[in-house]
Amino acid sequence: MKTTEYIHLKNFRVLDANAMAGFYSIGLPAMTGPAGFCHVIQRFFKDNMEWFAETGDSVPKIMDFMLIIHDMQLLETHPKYVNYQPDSLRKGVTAATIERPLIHFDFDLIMRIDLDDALDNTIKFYNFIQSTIFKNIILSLPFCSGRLENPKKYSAILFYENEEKFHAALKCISPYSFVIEDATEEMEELMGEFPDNDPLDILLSCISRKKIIYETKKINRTDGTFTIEEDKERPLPKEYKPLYIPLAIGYIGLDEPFNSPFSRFGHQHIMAESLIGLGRAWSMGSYLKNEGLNTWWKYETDRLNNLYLLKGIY
Amino acid sequence: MLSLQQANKTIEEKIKQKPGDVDKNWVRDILYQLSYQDRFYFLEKLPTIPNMKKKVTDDIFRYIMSPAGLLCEIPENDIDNWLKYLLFESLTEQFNETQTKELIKHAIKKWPSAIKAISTHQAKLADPKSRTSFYAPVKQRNSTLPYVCSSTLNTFAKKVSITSSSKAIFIETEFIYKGKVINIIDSLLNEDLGIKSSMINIGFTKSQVDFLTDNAKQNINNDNKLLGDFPQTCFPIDDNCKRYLNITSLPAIAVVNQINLRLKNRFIEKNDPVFTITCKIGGTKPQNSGTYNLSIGGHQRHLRSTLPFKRNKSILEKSLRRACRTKTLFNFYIFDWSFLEKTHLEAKNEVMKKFLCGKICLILDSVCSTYDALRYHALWEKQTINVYEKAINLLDILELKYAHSVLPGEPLLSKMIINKAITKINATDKKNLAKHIQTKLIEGIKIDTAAQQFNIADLLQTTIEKYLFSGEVLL
Repeated sequence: MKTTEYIHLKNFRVLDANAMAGFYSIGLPAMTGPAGFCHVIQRFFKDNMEWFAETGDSVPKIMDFMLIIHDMQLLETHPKYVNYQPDSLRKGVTAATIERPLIHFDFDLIMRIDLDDALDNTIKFYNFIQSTIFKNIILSLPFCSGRLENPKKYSAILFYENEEKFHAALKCISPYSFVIEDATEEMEELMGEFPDNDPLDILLSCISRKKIIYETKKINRTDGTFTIEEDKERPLPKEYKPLYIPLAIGYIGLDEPFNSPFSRFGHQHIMAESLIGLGRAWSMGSYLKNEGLNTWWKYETDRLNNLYLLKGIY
Repeated sequence: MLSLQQANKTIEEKIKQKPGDVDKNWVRDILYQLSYQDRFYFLEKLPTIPNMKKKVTDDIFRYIMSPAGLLCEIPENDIDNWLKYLLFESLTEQFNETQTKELIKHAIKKWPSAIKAISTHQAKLADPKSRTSFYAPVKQRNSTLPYVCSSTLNTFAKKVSITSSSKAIFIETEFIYKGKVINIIDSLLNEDLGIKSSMINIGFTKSQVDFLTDNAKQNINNDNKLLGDFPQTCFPIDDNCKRYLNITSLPAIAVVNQINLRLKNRFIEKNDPVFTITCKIGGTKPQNSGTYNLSIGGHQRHLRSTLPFKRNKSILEKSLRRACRTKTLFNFYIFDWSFLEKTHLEAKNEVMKKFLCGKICLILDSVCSTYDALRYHALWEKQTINVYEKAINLLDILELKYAHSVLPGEPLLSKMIINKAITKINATDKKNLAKHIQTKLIEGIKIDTAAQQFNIADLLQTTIEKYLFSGEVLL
């Protein structure tokens, strides 16, 4: 029997992460960053946990993840040294600088895991995850090409056996933090409504938040009253509105030019272009009040359209 | 097919018609109509023609050497010389002057399209760190995906890739040999073509050739670096994570152009701006990294994907900027009277008089504008105690029992709380409330003349009504 269980990295901090997710957006790192981090941890499980193989059970597999951000700070113009050497002054070689935007942020990462229900293995696994060895391993890994830190004493790695415990843990997180969700469904709907517009038009209107808002306020200065007019066809909840942000979600494979040296060796190396999709950011308070939000992310490959992307589970 | 004489005549005629203005496009069109051998002689005469700019000739030379240019067909006899020529392009130190002259002569006769503008780019090629850029067209592909990329924007996508200089020439330059378009590394991997033997004829040893074939794949992947700092990313294909795709991300300039254009139009036409962050590209000389970058001036606009956090309360700033942060004096004493009992208050009134005078403005700040608050401060300087009581009365009216729990140093927050309290009250009762506040405030103030009282009453009414019916409250 397989059960779904949760690993929760609570109150961790990333410093000097790459804020330039693609060539088109700055801010939050690409969603491929935490996906790669989860993948590295899964490979670690596969290589180092031999007791699963002895009993014949399958290695725990990370199905999907969820990202909660408590705080962030964007350093827009922070020059970074390139080709810097300690002897550079003696040699008379000055170090070059690159204007590379960086980001620091505090986050929670929750990973959903498939585990076999053998008792001995689960107890070992449970003990291992809460040990300091595993914590040190995680702190040694890069996260979104930045370095992880353990800023607070109460940052911890937790393990939930049930869904109930997981939901109880979510309520302990501060309501001012944000959960990030995929909004490709809404993008598809809008593209159906406005077929003349490109996805870029729709994305820009979503970010500016004028076209998408379905209710309008009219204020009379003389009386001090105001009225709200709504679209009855597509009402939105007034209290819990999400915040739309552009997100670097994945890559689209390009047709290779005939001279490219990478095409010689089959499918090993592929030219790709970074890809922007729409994301929703819910504050934690509104996330808990809304029902039916699925903020889990998982990677997919679409061979027909040559896509390699991260997508929410609907 | 044109002959050389016809081509030269057409150019001279066109220059007579429009002296000084020579397009490289129609020069290129003429060049395509010539045969392979005539093309070189045609190019040789181009700089000698009067009123011909040097840029035009250079551009055409570059275009020929670009991947969209021409490929050389090489017969089986001549492959030794071809390999020598490639080596000469990549590693000039191996040959003497006499050998180079012979090589160039041979190359001019046989492969005129492969010759570069050696004099202009020699220094750049010798430096292994230098890079040259070229454009290669990508097939247009319309799609209805809900993502922003070059294929969904219906634009003609151009891919920018960059090769390293000297080693890449030997590895990358393609030629037609036995009816196939190949590199040297392709030819080494395919043993049927028999280029290994010709490599040994030139002067390579067997061990060197074997070393090249073994490390052919690695050399290619290591030497060819991409633009800027875009890192390579691996993606697993299988569920068992055995196979990976190594993806190299590239920016499409068509998408960048579209984003900039539409942001501009949105700002001008619709008055609906989108917040962006600019990043500078190309250092002090943006023209070095492309023509489009020159038109922007090196300032690239990126879409902002950030989340709103309150900067004052952030944990990060406290930890990171503790050293360089200057703390301001907080005005929380007025709200935080819970630690003082009434007896203490009376005893300390005289001491706190001056201290309170400044702080009372805070309450008025939250009710009126700062300008008006300063006015009242001048009036109430002598009567601090009464005003303090009135202020507490005001808080009682608005049901602000927890006002003392407001965080220090944040008048905005106190404003927010009062906002919330006011929004609970109906809009019709607000005028009555304004009058109530007014009377409560004026009762404590002992003013001799009736004129002053009248003025203050007017001011208070106007300010409070302004505050209550302003847009800030309603929003």
